[in-house]
Amino acid sequence: MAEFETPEALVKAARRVREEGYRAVDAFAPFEIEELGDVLHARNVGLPLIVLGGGVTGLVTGFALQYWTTVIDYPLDIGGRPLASWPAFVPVSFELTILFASFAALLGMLALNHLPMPYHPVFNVPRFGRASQDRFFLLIEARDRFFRHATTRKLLEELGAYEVSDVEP
Amino acid sequence: MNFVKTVRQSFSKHGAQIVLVVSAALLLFSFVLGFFGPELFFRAYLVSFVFWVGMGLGSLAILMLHHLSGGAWGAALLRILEAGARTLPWLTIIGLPLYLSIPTLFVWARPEAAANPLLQQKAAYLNQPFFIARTIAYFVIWNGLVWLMARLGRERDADPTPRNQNRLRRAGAIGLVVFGVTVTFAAIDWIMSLEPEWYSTIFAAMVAIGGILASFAFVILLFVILARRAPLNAVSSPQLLNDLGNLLLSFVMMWAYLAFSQYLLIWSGNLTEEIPWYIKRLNGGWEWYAVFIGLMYFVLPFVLLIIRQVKRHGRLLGVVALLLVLTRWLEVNWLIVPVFEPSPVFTLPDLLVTLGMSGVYLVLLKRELGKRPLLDPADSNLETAQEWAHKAETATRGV
Repeated sequence: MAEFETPEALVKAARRVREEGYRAVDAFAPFEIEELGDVLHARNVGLPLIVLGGGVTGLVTGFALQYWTTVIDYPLDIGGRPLASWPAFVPVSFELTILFASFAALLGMLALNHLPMPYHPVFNVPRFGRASQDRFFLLIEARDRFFRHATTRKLLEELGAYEVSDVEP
Repeated sequence: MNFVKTVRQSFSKHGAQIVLVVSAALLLFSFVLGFFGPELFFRAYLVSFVFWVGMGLGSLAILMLHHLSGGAWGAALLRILEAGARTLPWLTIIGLPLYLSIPTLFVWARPEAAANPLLQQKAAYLNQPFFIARTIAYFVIWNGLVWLMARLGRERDADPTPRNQNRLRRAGAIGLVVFGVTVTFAAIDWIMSLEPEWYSTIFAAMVAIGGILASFAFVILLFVILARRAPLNAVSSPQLLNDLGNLLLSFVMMWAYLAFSQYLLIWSGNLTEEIPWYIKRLNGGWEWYAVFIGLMYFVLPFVLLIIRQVKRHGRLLGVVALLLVLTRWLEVNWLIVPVFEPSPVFTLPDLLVTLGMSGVYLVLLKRELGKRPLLDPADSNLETAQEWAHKAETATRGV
């Protein structure tokens, strides 16, 4: 794992490392760096679809709940309107759409990130805490097929890393 | 063959003048028809005018919003918005015939209003002299705002100091408040008072947001077309289009929220003085307008604008924008014409006025667009948009 002092250095290093053929690469920064996603070819992991699914579930649940209560379970004549009056169902259906979509977004994000995760090897590097403050880290995993301990370390050092450390599992 | 060629050449050279002459002729012909059937003519004129004045006012509102909030999206659209706002003086002139329409279109201005006790009570507000005075006041204020924003904008462009930037921002903030109040009253006067016994507090906001939505869609459409070439291609990028699409989506949702809120409240209340407005507009064929508007002004654009690939793609975003602009024309018809017709009709004056006024407006807009360069490359507000465009270009070239 290499530590960089600026986001530009991190992006440059990430791009170079990709060009060298490394694929098991990850980056850590205290804030979003838009270019990194493109450089590291971050994939669309399907979170939008999970949120959409949550929203549709909420919509159907909300509508079905009201339909069941007002039409099937307890029919009540309100001002002579039809029992299944869709305009009155809209606000609650809408609210449940938002609620379920938000839950799906939060829980889906946690699940796809495998969170909560009590242990991760990167925290064995003492300086890694600064990834949430003012330093930028690039990680190349040992399982990458181009990974050779000495050459990989040398490459990262050439790219201007402030410090290159080994991450113990 | 030679003749066709000559015609084509002279058209590409004098296209704008030809369109102007033809559309002005159509408008004049509709004036003549107006002498024989004033109601058909005036209501067609009101529909087209509400549509196009919404475009001008919407540009002004979005321009002020941009000066207040900043952002790359507005910096890239700046010249189009300014040109759109500068059409308002022209619209002031185009609207002049409507001052004669009041006794024809408005029940409260006719003699039979004297027999209606409710209209008698509203006469202190709804009477011709006050109505005309208010309308003049709206246009004076709107033209004043256009003049102020144009002047401060030019000063800022010539000398981009923080002080000039702040003056523009302050003018935008105050202008938006003034704009909100005047547009509310204008919508109440010129559309809601067509049915003077009916009232809704949401109505003016719904009309105004609908207009700003259509205007923003129109500006995006122009941007997408113009950005295929220099100089605007230097600020166009998927990221910028994405921002524009998101903003358009928020206007779509806001309009849907207001339109549905008004319907839900009136439907729930089910009061005899409130529901006739919807009974007229949901019967006799008008219900298909309502369904179509609901689908094309909300459902379809909502679904399309949620999809990232649509927002980031110039041509697709342009198609969504065009759809919104065309639907706005139907919506304005649906708001106004059911007052006079139990079923949808399309008459000769409708055709003449729609084509005529649209042609005149578009030529005037083109003229205003040509007055200043579409892009000031030195404008520091454009840095973000330029950077995005530069990155997008290097990415496609694979550097």
